[in-house]
Amino acid sequence: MITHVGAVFIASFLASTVEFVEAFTIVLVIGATINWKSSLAGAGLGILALAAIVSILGTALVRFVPISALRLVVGVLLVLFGLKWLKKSIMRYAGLKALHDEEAIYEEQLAELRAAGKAKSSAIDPFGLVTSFKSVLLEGLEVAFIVITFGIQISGKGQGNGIAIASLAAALAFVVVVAIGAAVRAPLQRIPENTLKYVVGIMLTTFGTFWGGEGLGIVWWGSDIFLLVLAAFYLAVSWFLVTRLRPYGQAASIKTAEEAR
Amino acid sequence: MSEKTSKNPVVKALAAIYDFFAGDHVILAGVAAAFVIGAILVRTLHGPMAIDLIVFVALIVGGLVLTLAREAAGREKPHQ
Repeated sequence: MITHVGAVFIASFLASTVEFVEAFTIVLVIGATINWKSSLAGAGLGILALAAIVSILGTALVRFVPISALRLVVGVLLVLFGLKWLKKSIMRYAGLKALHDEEAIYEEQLAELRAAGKAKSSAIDPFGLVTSFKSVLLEGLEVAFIVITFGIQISGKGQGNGIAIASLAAALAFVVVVAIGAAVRAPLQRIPENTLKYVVGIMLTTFGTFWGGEGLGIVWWGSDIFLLVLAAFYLAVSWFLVTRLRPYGQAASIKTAEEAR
Repeated sequence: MSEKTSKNPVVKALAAIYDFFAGDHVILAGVAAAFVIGAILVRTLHGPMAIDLIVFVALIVGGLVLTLAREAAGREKPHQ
């Protein structure tokens, strides 16, 4: 039980941190260029919309859909999300994709807003509010689904209110990101985003495989202990893929350097 | 007019939903194959559990390996 609840809390916290860091960059740009009132109001509305989606959809699913059917759907969704995150982080580790650069995104957004003629004002700016709202809602939507899918499993196993546990982790991630962001007042580029994404990718794929397999009727050896075997297997496979792809990443960076000369 | 702007809103919405949930047709195909073949093995053929488990996990990993192989294939080969 502790394995599941603890892992759900950690996975929700890490996934939320990654997405909130991305959303925070946009919120920061709006705050710095237009005003903090519009930026924070938009972010607050985005958080409220996400909370509404999680509570309405989560409660409806738990109440009206049988857990055996949910287990399969949850498994498929988690494996899809997990593999998507794993693919991106493997490509970044191998050098096939640039590491996410919050500073570059910040500068790009800042330039766009300045080009659009947006300047500092004290009143609520509809454009700033909507942009901030959209960034929080869109970045948070994937987290909302992760919170719902993880939460449903814990609730379905009778291990407490899973959606509340996963939501608590997401809320904690939000507080941490905002607190760090408020302290540094700059894009959060020191957060090891790719490492977080990689860990979350492994966790989502592991749990998705386990719960999806259970939904199909597969009986895992050692029950919950097999989660560790799956996680170790996915870690080994993904690291093997990183080492196999690294030469391609190096070839691409050499070519770019030669072209720049 | 660009292809993006000429798309009808329903197609755009479907594309956005696809991007949100999968975003990669090789991964989607691998996961779909894993769950469909897994279901057939477990519920219809009643084969040994070890085989079901190995096939299920192998198909999931297969999707990831294939999509990364496609990414690498589109790039310049490294000098040996």
